[in-house]
Amino acid sequence: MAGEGEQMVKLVSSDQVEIPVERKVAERSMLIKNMIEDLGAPGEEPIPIMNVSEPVLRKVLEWCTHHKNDPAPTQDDDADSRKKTTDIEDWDQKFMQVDQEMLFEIILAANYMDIKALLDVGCKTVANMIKGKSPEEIRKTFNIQNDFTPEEEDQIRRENEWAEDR
Amino acid sequence: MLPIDKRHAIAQALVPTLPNPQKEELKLLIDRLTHFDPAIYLPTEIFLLTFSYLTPRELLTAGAVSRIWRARAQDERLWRSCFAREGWVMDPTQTEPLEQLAERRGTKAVEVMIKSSERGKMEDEASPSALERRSSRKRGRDEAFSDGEGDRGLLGHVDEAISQFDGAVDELSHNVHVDSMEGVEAAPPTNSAARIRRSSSAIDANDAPPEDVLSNPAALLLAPPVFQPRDSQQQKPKLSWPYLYKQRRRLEANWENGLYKMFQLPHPDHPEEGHDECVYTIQHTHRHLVSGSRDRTIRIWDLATNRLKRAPLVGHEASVLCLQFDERPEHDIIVSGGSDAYVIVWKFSTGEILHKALAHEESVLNLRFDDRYIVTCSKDKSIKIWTRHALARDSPLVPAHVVSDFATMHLINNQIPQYSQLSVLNGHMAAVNAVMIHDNTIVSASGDRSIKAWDIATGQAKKNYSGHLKGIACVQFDGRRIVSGSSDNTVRIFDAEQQTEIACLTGHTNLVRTVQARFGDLDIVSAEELAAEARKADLGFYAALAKGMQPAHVSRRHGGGRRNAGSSRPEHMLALGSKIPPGGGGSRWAKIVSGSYDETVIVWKKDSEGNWCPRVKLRQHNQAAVVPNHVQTQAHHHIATAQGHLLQANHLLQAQQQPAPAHPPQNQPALHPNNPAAAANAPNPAAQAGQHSVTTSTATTSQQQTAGAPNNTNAAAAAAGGQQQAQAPAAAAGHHGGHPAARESNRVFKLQFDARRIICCSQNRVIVGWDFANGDPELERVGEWSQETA
Repeated sequence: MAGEGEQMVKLVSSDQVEIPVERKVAERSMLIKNMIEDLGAPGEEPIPIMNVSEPVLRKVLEWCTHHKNDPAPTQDDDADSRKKTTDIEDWDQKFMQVDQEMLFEIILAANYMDIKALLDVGCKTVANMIKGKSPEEIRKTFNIQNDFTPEEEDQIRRENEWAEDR
Repeated sequence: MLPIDKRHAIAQALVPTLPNPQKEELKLLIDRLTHFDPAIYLPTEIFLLTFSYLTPRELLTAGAVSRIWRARAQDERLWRSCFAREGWVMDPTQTEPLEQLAERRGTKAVEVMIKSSERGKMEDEASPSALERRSSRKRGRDEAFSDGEGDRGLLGHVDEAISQFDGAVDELSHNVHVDSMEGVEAAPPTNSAARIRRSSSAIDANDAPPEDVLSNPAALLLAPPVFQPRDSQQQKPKLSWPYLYKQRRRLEANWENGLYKMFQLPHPDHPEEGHDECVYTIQHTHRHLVSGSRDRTIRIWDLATNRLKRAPLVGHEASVLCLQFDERPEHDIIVSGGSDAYVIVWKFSTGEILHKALAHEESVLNLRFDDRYIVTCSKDKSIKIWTRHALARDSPLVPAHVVSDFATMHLINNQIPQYSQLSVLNGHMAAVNAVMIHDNTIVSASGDRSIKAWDIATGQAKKNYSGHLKGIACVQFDGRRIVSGSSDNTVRIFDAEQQTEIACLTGHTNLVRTVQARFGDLDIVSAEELAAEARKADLGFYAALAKGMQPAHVSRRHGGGRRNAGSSRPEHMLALGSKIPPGGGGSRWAKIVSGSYDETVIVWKKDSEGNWCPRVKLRQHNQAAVVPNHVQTQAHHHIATAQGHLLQANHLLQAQQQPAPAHPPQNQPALHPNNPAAAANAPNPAAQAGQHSVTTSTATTSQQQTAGAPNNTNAAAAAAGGQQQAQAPAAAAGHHGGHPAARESNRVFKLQFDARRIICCSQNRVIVGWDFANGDPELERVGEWSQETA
């Protein structure tokens, strides 16, 4: 097992940069894990990660490296994700302190590469940028144009009153 | 291009040289270049994944950000998940008929029906029972004329507009359907043009489905639509989850704020339909309520009209003390028990007696059945298990400990006949007042102050729960927690597994006779998660102890000590090692409703610390309407209206008119040698036969004046006397002691609540209900569609 863990594989980003990486790290991605199993002779042929550019791929691999020894997801984690807490562990929180473009690209890459835990962290990060904000604050955060008329805004506000805590 | 650091340096040098308006413009440019709308940047599925971490309120806020956000925030799956996370469950047997009706009649017509307070013929068609009868109709054609599709046609879907033409033609040839839509304002279209006109007038801002919001920015979906927007006519109409969530939440808010309308059975216009004497037991579903009374009858009520459904069921020779029914056609059963010691099985739909048996030696105080067994308990201190169906001798449903008995028994066809007694559970030292059955466990509560959990297979009491200081009158078991009410005036919650007391609710000032709890466990909550929460509370307790905290007084002997109502704060905790957190866990909508001899019904809710607090206190009548006992020679009906609520008629019992029962002398129960007036005034001879011969004879002559038999301090006996001592006005009431309270009471005997209403029966002959839909037809609907979970 130890030998296999040290084994290296070559990933190729969408912009054709080859990145060597420890197999165990790369296999945090179910996409890569399945590809390696299909290829049969890992390490020799480079694995194309077609939808992910070099900077994003490096960032994703940074996350995979830090989490390479994480246990496989359990039932508990499932129950946890169903409970929809947005707690994020410290390291992940720091990791996600990137510009919005990078954040969204990481999410897209995690989705494409099938790294569920990273996708969850990314989505939680976006959720935390929405939580506790007013509609106007949310618009500012994501540079969104308000396409409601003032009358419509008022109607929506009134419609939402049922959810107010008394 | 220059490297980044060079370009950065140049920009830094250039920007300050620009006039301010240009700087502002640049700021906007930079904003645009560095901030992105995730609703556009991310694929819908992933964007919705981020929304799945938002609370309902946050979703509503997100829906006010922009049109595209609004459309996303109304996603059905998000709200279905929100709904489930509140611990709410829909009852598909209630909603499916409605959805099928929408499929035939169009969503618009059904929506009108749902929002209307009138219930016409179409309503009957939506009833679960009408389901089978209808299913053979020409669904294919009917599908073609859904109004929902008409809406979409109008919004520019040419194909659907065409198919809608077909629909209109089809509809003409089926006018008979349309004509039968009584009370529904959806006029049958006479031609396709009329149909389109109708659709167009029907479309207001509220009705466009979200897809169209994106393609048609003019349309804004405000309130959630009743039915889910559909992408194609192949999709069957489904109630929309944002709608269901909103209405269910509004219904809960009415509970929180004590907003309700009262109602009564019998209907005030038909007092002749009511019971002649007090009502000891009720059970209700969305449609029916079945009541059992001291007048020896059982009555079936239609809750849509509050009218008697059929002639009273006559069969018991004394008071009906307990019953359970299942109206579903495959069950079609009422089982009742009385102070005549009989158990009667009735056919719900016809009222005929299917089976009658002398089940116990004394009053049958309570019974429960499931698909397999009927469990009865009695004043004779025993619990009996009966089979609901004929069983093969070697059926796994025969409890293991009696298999050998049946092995040697002569049985026709080798079958144990239907309603045979399977086993007897002995062990309680006093009357068994209440039983519950859950899987292979029976939980019983007794006047001997104990609650026991029995293993059906072995017939043995496997667990014992102590804590109550006096006899126990009622019990509920949901598989995790046991909730009980006692003549020590408290409601307590026990961890069924660990036998620990996890909460004690104080607020009633007299015996708690009836209790129901709904913790609203999420379907995703596992026993492990509850245990983890409990463990966390324990660790907090140890940590606080280490810091020198004085623990709460744990001794149960100190009745005066403050009990914990569910708090997890270390200084409040009384039990460690529970597998269920203090208070019992459950959703934020968890509620307990208890009814007491103090004449109140209390709705308990958890506060922010997890303590159960009385949130709403209900009385069946206006205090002012109480009529002093001595003037009651006839029943009085006082219907008063105040604060917009129907106030309860005060019916007074005519105990004097009862024939004086015979009182065979009996030994006092072993545990309560000095138990006095517990069963004083017991409603019927058989019930009294138990333990209180001396006082009962007094009681029957002095009637209500026996309130508070002078020497009565042992209130445990009250509960020991069980369900039937109901009329003993103050047997359990220490505070009446020595002061015969010469007035009638509304002591609550039995209550049941569902998502929408609490209904209770009491010493009063009128059954009273509080409907938290508060007259709102949509809340009435969502209440009916909701399934009550543990």
